[in-house]
Amino acid sequence: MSDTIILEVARFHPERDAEPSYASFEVPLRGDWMVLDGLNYIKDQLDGSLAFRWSCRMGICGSCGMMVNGVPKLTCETLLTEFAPGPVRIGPLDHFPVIKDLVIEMDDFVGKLQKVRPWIVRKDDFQPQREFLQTPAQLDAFKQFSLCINCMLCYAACPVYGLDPSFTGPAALALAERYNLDSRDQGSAERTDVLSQHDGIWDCTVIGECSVVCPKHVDPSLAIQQYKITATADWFRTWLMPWGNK
Amino acid sequence: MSAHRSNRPLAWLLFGTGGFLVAFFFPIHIFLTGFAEPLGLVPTPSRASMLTLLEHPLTRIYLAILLIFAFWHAAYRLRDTICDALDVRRLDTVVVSLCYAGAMLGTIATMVLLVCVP
Amino acid sequence: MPQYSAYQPKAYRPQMSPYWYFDRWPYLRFMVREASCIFVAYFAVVMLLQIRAIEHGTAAYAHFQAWMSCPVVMILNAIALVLIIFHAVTWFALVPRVFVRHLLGPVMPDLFAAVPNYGAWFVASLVVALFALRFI
Repeated sequence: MSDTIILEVARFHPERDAEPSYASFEVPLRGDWMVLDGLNYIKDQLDGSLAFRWSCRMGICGSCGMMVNGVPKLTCETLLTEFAPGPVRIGPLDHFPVIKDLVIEMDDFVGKLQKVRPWIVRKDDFQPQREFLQTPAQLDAFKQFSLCINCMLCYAACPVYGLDPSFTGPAALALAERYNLDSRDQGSAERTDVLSQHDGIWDCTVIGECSVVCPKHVDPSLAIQQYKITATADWFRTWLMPWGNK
Repeated sequence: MSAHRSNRPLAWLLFGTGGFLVAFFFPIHIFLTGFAEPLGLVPTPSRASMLTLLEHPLTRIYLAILLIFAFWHAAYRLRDTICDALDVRRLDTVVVSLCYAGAMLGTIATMVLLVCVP
Repeated sequence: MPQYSAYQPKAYRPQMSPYWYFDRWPYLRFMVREASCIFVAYFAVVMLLQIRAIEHGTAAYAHFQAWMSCPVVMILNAIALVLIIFHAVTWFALVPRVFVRHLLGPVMPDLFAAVPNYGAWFVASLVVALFALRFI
């Protein structure tokens, strides 16, 4: 195996470029290096103007999501040797506006997270004297969906979001379902108006790539399909028993 | 509040039921009618015996349910496929009308054929 | 969203290609799965024609059988069979686990929800074959 590898990195200078282009950099190919280490080598040794986000370098902050050979990945968790002999094409996450180089604008995503009301909603004035008790079964009902690190790889993988940016998207919908399934929460009705829209769960055509690329195995596709059942039952209840409490 | 919500749930329920029915029952029908009988792998029943089978109310109920749900399943999926594959989401209303008109036609044709068995 | 002035750089907004499903194999697989619905509608119409042929007499029935033997129709039926089996396999992998999860919670691996469907599929096919071939 050669001891270097070519990284083709997207460059975009907003003050002078109309669209991104790719620049090639040769970086050392070390057996324990991740793609992120390669990018940091470029920034330290080759071209200090390269802009990209990263933080924890251990797959928990969700900052370093990028397209690696067309697949959204956390660059801190992707080995360079996986792509030997290369070259490796690194681009900004798909379906998001690009601010500079590999940095994307995530205002839309953050807005959608807020839209689904991701907090415990109580209908009563209950002031607990101690923590809410939950059985292991009650925790298991939503635990998987609570593991999301907001890395947005699922949005980059979802063609529906690419075609229709008003789609609420996998992570936001999974987060909403995480709270709906939480036994401490009483806010399902409030979230339903957001989720049961055309651009909520019903835009999802079950492509399933969101669950495939998720680095934390949240399985947002499962959360969305689960919510479709709840929303359908709810819809029938609304039509058949309109006098029921909303 | 329900007026603000999508009416997709009903269509989705039809889609889901149709999906199961098509998955369980269509392959054997295609295999028998499309291959086993024309290629002589199995004996083709006579028209008279098929008519006797068709006259039985349970047969007609089975076929009505299978075919009607198949049409509504196909309409729901076709609408999404046309919008995503041909990038015509802005014409969604037109696509919906065409797909569900087709499903309605299929439903009517099924009812007509199965109610008036000679 | 901040309003950009003429002197402030603008973010690049990528456009999705209308042929996006040819970019990656999983997307193409998805589109093929969805396209199976065209053949579901096609074969539902074929079955209506079969019912009509049975109702309209022996000559019509024989004509239908002959039509089923013609090469173009056989090719269409072959594509329909492959795609609808593909629909069935992807359906069993995706849908039953959602109902199991919804009703029972995460009590079993997804595979356990999928496998019983194959048994039901076999039984359903056997029953239909016995009736359609007039063994019953």
